[in-house]
Amino acid sequence: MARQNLWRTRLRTMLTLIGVIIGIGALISMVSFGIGLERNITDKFKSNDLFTSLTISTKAFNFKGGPRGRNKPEQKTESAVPLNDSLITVIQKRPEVAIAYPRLTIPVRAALYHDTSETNLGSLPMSMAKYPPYNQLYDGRYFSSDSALEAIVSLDFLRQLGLEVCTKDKLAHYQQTDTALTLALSDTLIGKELSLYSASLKSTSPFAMMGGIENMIGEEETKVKIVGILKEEQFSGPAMREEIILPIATAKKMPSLGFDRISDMISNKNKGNQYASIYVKTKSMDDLGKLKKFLDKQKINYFAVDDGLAEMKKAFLILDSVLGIIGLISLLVAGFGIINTMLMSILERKREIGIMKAVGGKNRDIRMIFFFEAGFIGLVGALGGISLGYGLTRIANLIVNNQYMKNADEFVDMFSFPWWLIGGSVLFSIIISLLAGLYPAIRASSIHPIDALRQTG
Amino acid sequence: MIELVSVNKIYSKGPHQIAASNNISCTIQEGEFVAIVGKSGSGKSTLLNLLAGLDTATSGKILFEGTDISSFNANQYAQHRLNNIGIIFQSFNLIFSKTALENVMLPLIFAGYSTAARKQKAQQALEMVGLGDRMQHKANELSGGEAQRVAIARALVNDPKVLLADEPTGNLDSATTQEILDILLSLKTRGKTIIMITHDQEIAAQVADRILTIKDGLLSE
Repeated sequence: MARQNLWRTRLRTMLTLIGVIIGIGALISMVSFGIGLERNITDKFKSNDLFTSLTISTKAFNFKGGPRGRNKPEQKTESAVPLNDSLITVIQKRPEVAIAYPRLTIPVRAALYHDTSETNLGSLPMSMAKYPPYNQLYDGRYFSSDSALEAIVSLDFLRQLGLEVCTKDKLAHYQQTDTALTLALSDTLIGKELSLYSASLKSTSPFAMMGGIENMIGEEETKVKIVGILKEEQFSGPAMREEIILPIATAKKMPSLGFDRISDMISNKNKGNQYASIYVKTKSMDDLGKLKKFLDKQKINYFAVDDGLAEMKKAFLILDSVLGIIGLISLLVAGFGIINTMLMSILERKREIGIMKAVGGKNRDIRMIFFFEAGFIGLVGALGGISLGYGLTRIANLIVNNQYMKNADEFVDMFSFPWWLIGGSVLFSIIISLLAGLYPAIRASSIHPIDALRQTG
Repeated sequence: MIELVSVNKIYSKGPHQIAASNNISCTIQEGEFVAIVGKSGSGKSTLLNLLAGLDTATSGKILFEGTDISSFNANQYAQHRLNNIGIIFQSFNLIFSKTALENVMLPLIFAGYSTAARKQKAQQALEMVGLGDRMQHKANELSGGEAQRVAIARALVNDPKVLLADEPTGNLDSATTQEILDILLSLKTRGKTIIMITHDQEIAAQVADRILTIKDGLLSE
């Protein structure tokens, strides 16, 4: 009966439905964007092993300060234990630790063919070969040994050198794209020699020594062979890795000043710090917690991404809430549309309500008819809204991937539609519709049959 | 079957009070065809509304098979109408957007019958009033006589004990009036208790076992 009533006033029903469809469509698109963003960032962190790793540092990190703590004085508690090979050995022996190695960051000027680019050079031990992303390179292989004169470079670094790199199977696609970069096949770059120029302290000439100047900063060249190219990072955001990575022993031998900042040179060396930071990878997320306890006990400063995870989750919750509220407002407007439709329907069907009561319809029966109509609008509106939201997000994905992420290896889905979101949207739409139908239903059921039957037409 | 004991229905309009039913007492036996005759504004429709439970008495008792229904709430009245009372209105009170069949099926929805059972019972009721061939016609496509026959079928479909007819021939021509009266008489022979309200003394005399007259809310034999 309720369906027939809705069909009888189909134009009005359709307009009300469109309101609900837009409301649910907006809500689901917004929330799915928030969830998608969270998923993509979390996946990126996971793919970079950030939830099972930490960095031991000479300085304490004050992560919890956040944006509000911006004006607070920076904590500068020094680690109680110096960062050197002995500490790495101690940490490496712990049962929860998979790998521990020093993080060397050397500023270099890199030259390939005739182009040069300034960047930071990182280093990795051979044991990292089995972990992502180093076990899934874009092209090439991992280092042959810790002391090999080899390098793994990123696609971004090659772009800085004016090269747009692609594999053979993607060549046709890249040839169609309009780019100022020179197209290069990845396999042609493997084996190419890369010159790295790093700053170092050199002994000065006898004349300078006579003037009291013992050392001066010079630049030395190290030649390495490109053996691998790193994949594009899965989701655009802050870069998680250095753009050139060398085997750890090779990096240690690289001529360098041994410090990134003058303050480091003054403070760290004096306290027996051999390294500015040590990277530690644990066997599992639980192991990371155990290691953190150990480090806290030893008063060793460290930074772990999962420290910021709770803060990050809070930020995502706020983002999801804001996006959800925007969608909710649309749905509330649709709710008022339902109330309006129902109230108009009552006015038009007052006589019909009187007839139903005269032939034995109870107040509850009348209420149920109006509730069913509201619920039906909610259900159909939700299904339509989900379809609309899904369709719009697919279009948005296509536009973003085709226009802004042309060269990404994989299609990036910016939205996420978990089952709970779809089910929740249907439920939420029905609840909002039923709430919107509540007052009209009560009003309809309370109409006196004699008053209703007196209505003509 | 139905007993009214000192029933009053008083409407207040500002400082004035109008007694639509004035200390009415009467008894209607099972299977009886009673006509209540009165002029416009005499209080006959108010009396029918009280009997149907569409309105409540200001004072007095209305007993239906020994049960005092005057203290019923709205839902109890609805249940009472569903189980015991069929109402036929002068203006038919059909839902014009629905077919004859759907109109007749309406009480059965509230009685909780399945769709198939509703359809079967409604078809039988319509065939009984001679509208077997007009079931799928919308109510607004029917003539006055046909519409009233649909209303009779709807009143009968749940097999009520009492039929209340409020000027059932008021909007009909003489030929159609006779058809409707014949149907009502046939229902009486099937044991239905019928209370018919009319302003037409002649019609009342033609069909009723007993005629009650109402004037200014006062009922007399």
